[in-house]
Amino acid sequence: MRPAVEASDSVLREMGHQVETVRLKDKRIAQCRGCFGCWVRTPGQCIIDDDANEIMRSFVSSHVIVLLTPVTFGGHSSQLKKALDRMLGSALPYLERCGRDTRHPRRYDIAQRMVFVGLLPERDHEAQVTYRELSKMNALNFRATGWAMALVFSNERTEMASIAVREDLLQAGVAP
Amino acid sequence: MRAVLLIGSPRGDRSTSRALGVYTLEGLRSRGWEVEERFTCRDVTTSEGLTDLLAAVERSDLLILSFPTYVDSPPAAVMRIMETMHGRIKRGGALLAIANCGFISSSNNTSSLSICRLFARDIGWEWRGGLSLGGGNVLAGRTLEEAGGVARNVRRALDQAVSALAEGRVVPRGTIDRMARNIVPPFIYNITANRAWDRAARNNKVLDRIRDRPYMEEEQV
Repeated sequence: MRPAVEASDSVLREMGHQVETVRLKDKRIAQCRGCFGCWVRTPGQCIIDDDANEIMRSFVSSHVIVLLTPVTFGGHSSQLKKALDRMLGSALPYLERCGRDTRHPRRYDIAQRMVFVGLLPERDHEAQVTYRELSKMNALNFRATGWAMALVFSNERTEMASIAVREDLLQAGVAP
Repeated sequence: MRAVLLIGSPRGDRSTSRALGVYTLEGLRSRGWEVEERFTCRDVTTSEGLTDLLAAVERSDLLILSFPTYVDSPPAAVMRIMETMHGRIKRGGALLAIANCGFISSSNNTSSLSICRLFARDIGWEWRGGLSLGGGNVLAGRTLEEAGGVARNVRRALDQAVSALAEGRVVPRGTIDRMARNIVPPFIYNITANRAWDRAARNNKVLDRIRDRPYMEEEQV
């Protein structure tokens, strides 16, 4: 995990971005209750008072969001998933047509690019395909203006993490 | 034969996930299976609860995992249980996953069900199939019987699934396709859902604030 985190941080700084790194293991985040309070009770804010609200503040005000996670069964780890589930309030409740699909409109107008970096112990075709599809769906649902997904394998040299993350950022349209 | 239903919705008793899971479980019970039910939101929040769930799963021939899709994948609580089970489950078993989502198109459950299938693969279980329902809000926590005609197709699909599962078979492709059909026409669903959100906000006296941007001061367009 560390090489990918360091690579993301340094590449983004090289590109001239200010970088805030959120380490979820140090955060106190409760599970989403599925109450939709962030839509129809306290619009835009979760009714649970914990660290997820600060993460939401960063989430909706950043031009680039890099999500780094071990890939578990082709998905995000439960730790990242817990935070993502709590970002529901970044969207509005309404349903609107978006091409052939239905999506929620964004609550905030900021143009965002999303970069997904998944860590796998080794190459696993099915998990890789599933993680790519999940990344694509996440980018669509968060209405990202650009996205890319890279995989880092624990059994490969650490320099590969830096290369993969750099390529990922460029592919998502994060310009130097 | 024995089946355990694990309900992955934080909404618990009155969730669409429970409605779908219980209907399936009752179908198996009527065929002589022993069945039990657990909730991720209350039964698995402690280490004792988790140990109890793992013991129940080890005793069973089939685990039915019924959950809502949140942000394109199973809720965090479901992911955590899958991570815990991986490495701790010693006995073989079989998994059926039932995913429902708030968008009308059931295709929004595709990643969720792929993740469940890979979970089954990784713990060496048989994958009995993934059933996908879009527009889950139509059921609004009602049982499938209470939901009446709108759930007719869902009941038929689950009846077919139960027939296959009771005989130890994989859920047939036709059943998966039947379940995946639109529960109501998409344009009607979207209009009705949008009105329901307005109504809920109005009831909470926040309709005029429903588009609020509480973190706007940080926004850089």
